[in-house]
Amino acid sequence: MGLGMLASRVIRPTASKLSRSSSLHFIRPIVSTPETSSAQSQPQPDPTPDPPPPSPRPPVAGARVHFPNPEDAIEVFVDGYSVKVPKGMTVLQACEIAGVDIPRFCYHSRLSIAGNCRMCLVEVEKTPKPVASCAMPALPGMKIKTDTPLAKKAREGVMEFLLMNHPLDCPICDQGGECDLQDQSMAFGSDRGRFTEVKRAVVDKNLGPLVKTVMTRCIQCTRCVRFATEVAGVQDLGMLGRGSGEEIGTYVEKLMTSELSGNVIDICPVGALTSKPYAFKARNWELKGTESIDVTDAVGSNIRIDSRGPEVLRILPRLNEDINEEWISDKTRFCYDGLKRQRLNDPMIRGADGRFKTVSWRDALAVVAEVALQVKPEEIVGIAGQLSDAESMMALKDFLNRMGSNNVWCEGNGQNPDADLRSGYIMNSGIAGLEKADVFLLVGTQPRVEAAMVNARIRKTVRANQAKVGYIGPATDLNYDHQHLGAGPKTLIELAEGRHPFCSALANAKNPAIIVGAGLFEREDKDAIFSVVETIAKNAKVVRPDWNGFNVLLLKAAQAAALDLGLVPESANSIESAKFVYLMGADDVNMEKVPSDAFVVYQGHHGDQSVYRANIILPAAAFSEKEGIYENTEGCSQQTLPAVPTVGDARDDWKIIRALSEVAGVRLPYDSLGAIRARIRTVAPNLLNMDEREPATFSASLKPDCSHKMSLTDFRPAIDNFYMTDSITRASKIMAQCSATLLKK
Amino acid sequence: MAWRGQLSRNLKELRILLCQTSPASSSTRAFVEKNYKELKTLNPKLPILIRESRGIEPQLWARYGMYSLTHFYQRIGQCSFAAAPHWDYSH
Repeated sequence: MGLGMLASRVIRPTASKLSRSSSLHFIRPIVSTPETSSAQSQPQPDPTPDPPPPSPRPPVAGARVHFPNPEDAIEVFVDGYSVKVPKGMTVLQACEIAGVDIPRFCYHSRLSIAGNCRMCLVEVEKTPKPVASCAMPALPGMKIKTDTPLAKKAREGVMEFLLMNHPLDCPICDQGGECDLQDQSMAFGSDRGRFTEVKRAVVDKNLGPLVKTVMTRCIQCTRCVRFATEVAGVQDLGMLGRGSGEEIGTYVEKLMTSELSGNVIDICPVGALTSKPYAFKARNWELKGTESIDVTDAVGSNIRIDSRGPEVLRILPRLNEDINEEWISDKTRFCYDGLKRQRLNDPMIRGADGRFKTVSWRDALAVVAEVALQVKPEEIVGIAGQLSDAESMMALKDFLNRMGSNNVWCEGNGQNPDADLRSGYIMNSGIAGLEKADVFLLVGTQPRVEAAMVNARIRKTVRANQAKVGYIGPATDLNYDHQHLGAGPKTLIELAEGRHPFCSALANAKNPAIIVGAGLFEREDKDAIFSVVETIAKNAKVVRPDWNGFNVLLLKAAQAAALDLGLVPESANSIESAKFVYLMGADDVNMEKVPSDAFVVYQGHHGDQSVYRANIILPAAAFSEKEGIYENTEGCSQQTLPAVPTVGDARDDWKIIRALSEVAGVRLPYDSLGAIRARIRTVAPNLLNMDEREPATFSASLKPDCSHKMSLTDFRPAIDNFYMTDSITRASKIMAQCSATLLKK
Repeated sequence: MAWRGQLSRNLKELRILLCQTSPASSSTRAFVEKNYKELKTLNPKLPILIRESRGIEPQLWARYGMYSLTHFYQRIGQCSFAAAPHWDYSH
């Protein structure tokens, strides 16, 4: 309260005095988030009375307006400045283009319009009352006034009502410092309230292990309800009661079983929904934000890693319209506590008694090099893990090639990967491009657990265009309408031969999209399956010059880069005759296949499944601790940045291999990140075009005809447990809780 | 052409880097369109990695046997592949 009064004393009198004397010369910045404040502090040129000049302020958050149809542009006037907006935009959006950030609570650009918080009231000339700008369409010639005494009074009134029932617990609220209600009450609220009665209290709801609720703080903006029904596709949340008894809830107590549930924390404008694992851990101003990339699936969601000192405290989404919009999956958001558990921090050698003994890097590398030089080159095998960055995979491949071995691959890509044509393993339409599709055929993939953000994109398309979805695979729960066509290759054959009823849907589609799951890479008959799918694609004209709807949905962050770099094993069963196995964070390798006399080196950051078999451990850095390139499933490479220091004596993956190569006498010719990237430039230059999607030119039609036969075994789910898919998430306590409570059958 | 089936005897990996759109890469794109299928049919085990990247100069890289450490990767210019009738780019 003290802060609020202080602030209003500072802001209000000056603002009202100035605006009364020369309202045109002074434009009070309306700031709801600190990020947008810089955009508004532009010098104002003297406005000439006739004609109204274009707005001198840049659009809020630097947004650009896209006119799908130039004739549909209409002109409105915001605070006396003219601005051109496309027809159908709301008053609030027009104001944003004019550079005026209207305060709001319930409006969210990615959700439907509710219009129930009334915070966005503005004055429109020739209307008797202030209008809710988020719900009012902009009309030609409309004169919108966002800064008049009437609009200010309206906002003050709304704020007073909202604060009536809002508890005064900001000091113990996790939203403090990044709370829309806090910020907007400072900027637009009154300096005193007139409420003297007792505040209402609401029972907290149990939404599971991820989202903490303090429902008394809720201001009934219904953003979470709209997010759950529209984006996440779970119809659990709703509004109950009316008047002061109104509350958000699930009616009968029910956990929110969505893989996107964590996003309600971000969209909640107050502290009603906050992160349970982050509760009372830190204040947002203590945190250092690092813009990075998620590696728990192949989507490459853009994230911000918030850390304090050596500890990652939370992970938030970053806006990227082409990949994750502004959402991230729960696995991405909450896997970070796995970064603190089960870490490998020293090089260790397994002694004769079977126990690991800490040794120095020098000794560890000497032992590895000695063993590697003793075995025959073809008995050396290297496997890159699913979290490996491109640089380390490049180093691993070069090292093994120099040792004379060609048996290097990345887990998840199968025994016999075909890395020749990029179109054969990336999502050719792009993730954002899926929105153009009107018929989907999912082959052996469950995007909901394999890539939650891609699934959200498909759901968005299904909702927006009524796109049809056909699914082939084991029965699953996709959160949109779909036809379950069959469980395996049998249905594929029917589709290829045109005997299936879904063929007509595919044939009539304007932009058909086929999504093949990378789980099929592990099947023996994958070449045959792919050739059948390519036949279906050919029949349905999925690949055209203007549209390529043939997509492969990868499962793991390292897969695309590994295939791009050519991590292809020379012989499929090399692991069974291996004497020296180099695992670079590979934990999903079937270790029973490794001969018992083989020497296994495990280089990685977590003591996970493969460590039980390892003879020597070389500690490496996790994705939050290093700079590394990752290519996502659509062929867009992005890089992680170090947010926190490495643990103990761990080193970057590529540096370990570089050091080892020198000890082994086959020195790799690079010793800096720049040099190794120069090397990548000669292998897969597309990996260096950061943040840009590199489409593939050649389609599968170039491939020689496949002579293999398809087995009729049904497809299997590629992922059993959405929450635990890699060494980081398997070490995470929160992910374990989620698997225990949310995956209950 | 007999040499094509022999490629995988000495080569471990063939890489073709090109740009998706630029005119400089157009002959390389035509080369891939024309020859990839045959090369792959004759050398099913040889990885022929075709990598697109915006604005790069077309290149052909070959990786030879196991012990060639000094000339680990060798860049093939316009002449050393003279046996290939369609290989006509001038970079």
